[in-house]
Amino acid sequence: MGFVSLVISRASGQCLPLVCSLTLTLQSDASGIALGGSGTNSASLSFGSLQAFSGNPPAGVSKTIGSTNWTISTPFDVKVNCQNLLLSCSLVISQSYTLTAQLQVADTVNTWRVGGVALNSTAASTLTSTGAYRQATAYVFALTIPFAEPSGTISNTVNLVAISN
Amino acid sequence: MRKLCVLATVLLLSVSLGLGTASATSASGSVAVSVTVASSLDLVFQTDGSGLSLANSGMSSVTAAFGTMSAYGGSVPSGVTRTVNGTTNWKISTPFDVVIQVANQTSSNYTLTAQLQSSDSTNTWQIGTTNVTSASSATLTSTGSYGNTAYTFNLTIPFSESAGTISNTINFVATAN
Repeated sequence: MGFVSLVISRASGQCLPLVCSLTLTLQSDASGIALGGSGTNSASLSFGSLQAFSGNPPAGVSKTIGSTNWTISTPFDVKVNCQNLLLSCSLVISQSYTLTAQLQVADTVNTWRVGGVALNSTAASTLTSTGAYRQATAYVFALTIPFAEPSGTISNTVNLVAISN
Repeated sequence: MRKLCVLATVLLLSVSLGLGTASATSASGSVAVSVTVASSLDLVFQTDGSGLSLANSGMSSVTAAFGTMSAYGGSVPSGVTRTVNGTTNWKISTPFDVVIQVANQTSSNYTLTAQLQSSDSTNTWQIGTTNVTSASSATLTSTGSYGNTAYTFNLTIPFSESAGTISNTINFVATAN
């Protein structure tokens, strides 16, 4: 019977990682530009037409001019939920998540950042490894454009992945 | 009884092992980003190291205030040169810097023009050696190099002109070539 008790203890300690179902939603930040598809996991950020030295950016967008480039930035919110699907055992609960971001298409000209972290298309960059569930966390998206780049449309997709810890 | 105990043990072991192989779950999302970049030029004025201090230096709208000056005697502000030409007129001059930058356009140089905002048929306004009037814009350079360039402002005042305040505005336009 002593052996049986030991097995029960191990089972209780390992039960939870199975039961957390994650959802990730992207939301407009109150201080940022309105996201297309806000409230879903597939959103869009459309800045329209912008100039380094002329005009004003849209509401919620900041523009900073450097000596060789300029940067546009805006905050947006990421919310990750962990839904407990089963089991009465609660000894182990995922308390946080890791959030990564990766550019879908390579861009060797412009610099893409989320939350101050530079992104590329070759590997996922970690935005946080201690993300809190059920909280809309603001991340600042920033795109730095060299003066030397010709005019035209810049587009890409930032893919985000949340993994329970 | 012993069989029952073994069965229970096996069951519990199965549960234990099954749960032990669980892996972290994940969720994904994407943000599609689009921005249309249009070309632009930046023109600002800066106080030259050898010139009169400009109010709002570093901006595209600055002021050069010379204060009270006279052809003979009196004080000449720092960075300002006064030249008396015989018995006909006198000139005040000072250098200032024009800084022009280009963004998101392939352009090797620029054309810079200047024009007086209000007509002045009495005094002579010059940038460098180029006369500036209100009638049309005068070309200061058609091959300007991007970056910082010093120009000299000159105002020639006839002796025959009555004492008083002279004021006007010079409008500059830079165009990428």
